[in-house]
Amino acid sequence: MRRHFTILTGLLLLAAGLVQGEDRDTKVRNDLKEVQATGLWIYNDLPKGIAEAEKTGKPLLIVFR
Amino acid sequence: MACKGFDEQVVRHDPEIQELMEQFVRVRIVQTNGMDLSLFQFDFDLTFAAFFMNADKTIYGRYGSRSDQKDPMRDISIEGFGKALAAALAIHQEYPANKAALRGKKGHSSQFTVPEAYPSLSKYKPKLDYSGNVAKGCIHCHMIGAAERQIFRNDHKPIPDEVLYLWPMPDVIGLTLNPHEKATVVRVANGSPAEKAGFLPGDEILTLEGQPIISIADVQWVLHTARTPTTLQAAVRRDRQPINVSLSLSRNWRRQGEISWRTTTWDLRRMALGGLVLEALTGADRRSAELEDTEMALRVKHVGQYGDHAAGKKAGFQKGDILVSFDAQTNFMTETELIVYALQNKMPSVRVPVTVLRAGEQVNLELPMQ
Repeated sequence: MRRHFTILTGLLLLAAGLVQGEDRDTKVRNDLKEVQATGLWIYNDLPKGIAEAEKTGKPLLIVFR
Repeated sequence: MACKGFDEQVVRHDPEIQELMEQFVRVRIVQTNGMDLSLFQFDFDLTFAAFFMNADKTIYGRYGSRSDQKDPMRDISIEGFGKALAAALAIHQEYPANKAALRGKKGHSSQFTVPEAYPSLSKYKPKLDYSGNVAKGCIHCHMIGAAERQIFRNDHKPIPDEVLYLWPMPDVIGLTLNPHEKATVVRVANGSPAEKAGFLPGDEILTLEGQPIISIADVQWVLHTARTPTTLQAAVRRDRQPINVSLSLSRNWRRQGEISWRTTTWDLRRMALGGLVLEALTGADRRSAELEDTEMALRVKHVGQYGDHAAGKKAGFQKGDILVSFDAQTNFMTETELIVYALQNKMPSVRVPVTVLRAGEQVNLELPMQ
């Protein structure tokens, strides 16, 4: 009985960990979607930002988050 | 977390800064995988950091400061960020006539070109796979700091002050700056290097070591890269008049700093304290333990439970123990002082004798260094 309880607890913890992992992945993907949807930022692409700055003559604002 | 709110205000162009933001090409980076470490040098314990830059990679300035784990907004504000944006635009308008003054804003070449080149981060790829376990593949900023310290431990070398007391806040030299301004002095601490240099409340720091200063982070950058001992030259605006100030810093000036709030200190605790978290006893707690104010008294606040962070637990340390001696020395008044001593004097695999008070009795234990 005790062994079954331990296994069940382990499975629940594993499942919780997986859900947590999914949440973090979802958060990262949602950040990409939401920020791209604003149309205000170049996302994770520094060379593209530099090319844009060269073309427009604007300075760069690079945010690490 | 409050810092998340700040980030959202920036991402969505808060009305207070919208007009300024639109004058920049805006790039958001959410990974450090593949990041050029010779170019992007900033406080890796931050959760928000910004660079203002020319397309030729000349750095105009930095933004993002932190000195407290619980209150990430203590040292930043949208108002201050807006003033830094405006100042960066002014620098851009003068560019390239001001290029020589900006040279010092870029650091020396890094030993490792990208984070994944560090031995302890070699399993990571230079790009994120958004279709897979994207979060798991991400190198977080703080992991770079931890990887750098691990190099010293692997080589059995002391970790220098510059690597432990990194990105000093201006408070370390006695200057409290206003987070709602670029770099304006609010308070000067009595007896501090800043007071001896002649800084006064209300001074606006215009340049430091010839570099234009547009944020508290810019002041931190100059302090972070300063040699010791040294004298730094500052230009300040006081009552609309420019004034030059010489700031002399002694050999151990960095040691006024405090590192226990930093995320990367979690890994330092593994190395130096076997995963213990310590807090200094104060007031009534000292009296009930019958300890004088001048005596070492660091209470175990948390005992790590897993992996290398459980080394303290395995050595017999318990939550509530009060460390009164470490390596036969009794002069460590803060967790920071103890961690720094251990990482500069006790190499991995050494066992350090420690005396603790437990229920009023002295207990002798040995703490393994890692």
